[in-house]
Amino acid sequence: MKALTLGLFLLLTLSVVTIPTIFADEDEDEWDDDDEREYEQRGSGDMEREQEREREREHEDDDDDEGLALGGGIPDAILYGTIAVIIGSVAYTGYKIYKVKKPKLSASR
Amino acid sequence: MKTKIIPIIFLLLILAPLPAFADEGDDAEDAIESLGWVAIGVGVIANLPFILFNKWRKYAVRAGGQSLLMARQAVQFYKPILNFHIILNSVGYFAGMTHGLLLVNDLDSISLSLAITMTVLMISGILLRYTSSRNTKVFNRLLHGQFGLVFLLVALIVLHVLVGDD
Repeated sequence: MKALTLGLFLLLTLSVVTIPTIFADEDEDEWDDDDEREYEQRGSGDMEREQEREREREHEDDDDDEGLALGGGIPDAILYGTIAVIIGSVAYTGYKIYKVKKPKLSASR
Repeated sequence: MKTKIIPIIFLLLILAPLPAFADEGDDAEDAIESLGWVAIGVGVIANLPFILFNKWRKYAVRAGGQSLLMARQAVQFYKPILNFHIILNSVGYFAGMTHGLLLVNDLDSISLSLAITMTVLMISGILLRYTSSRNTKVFNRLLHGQFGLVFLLVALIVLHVLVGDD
């Protein structure tokens, strides 16, 4: 129990250390001084329209990237193959245990 | 001895993911990608010595004579190597899953298959180590050491690296 608590504590510490570091230098979406100046010069209406256009462009880019996503021929076969191997492994393990236990049960009767 | 090992392991846990961020500059996506490489590296370090040690022990017991004596003496190293295997695999699993969650927009079938296989092996390993039920232990010992699952994991990692580089 003590070892489990220690293990969970270590994993939690690791997550706390790892995850924020990844976002540490991501400042693309932050509101900086240049944005503020631009906002003042052009007014909020223009800025909003431009942001909307940018969002639409990003959405279109996402649609174009769908070639690699789920639904392809070979990649789908790999996924189904993986699930089949896992189910097969679990079933084979169960069968192995059953096979070892069955003669013992019949011998005890 | 135990009191010395715990701070070292703790330090290792904190320092292990850091090389991923060492020379990345501003590109956050590169850092996330490096996290995947950390997962692979940690996985290799965690599993190779453990598998080789177990194979050698089995071979030595079967061979008998001087090798059997050596295998008996090596029993004392089993627990530290097992703990090393568990801790590094946990680090690798969480690094891999963080890498996957942060790049979830690019999810493909190979990545999903890899995540499923890693999770199955991780759950069977945790149950094998921490359950007290004898039946669950036997089941998970057999499942955790299945050659098919290990082969599948290695094949999926290779495929994931090849497809991810494109």
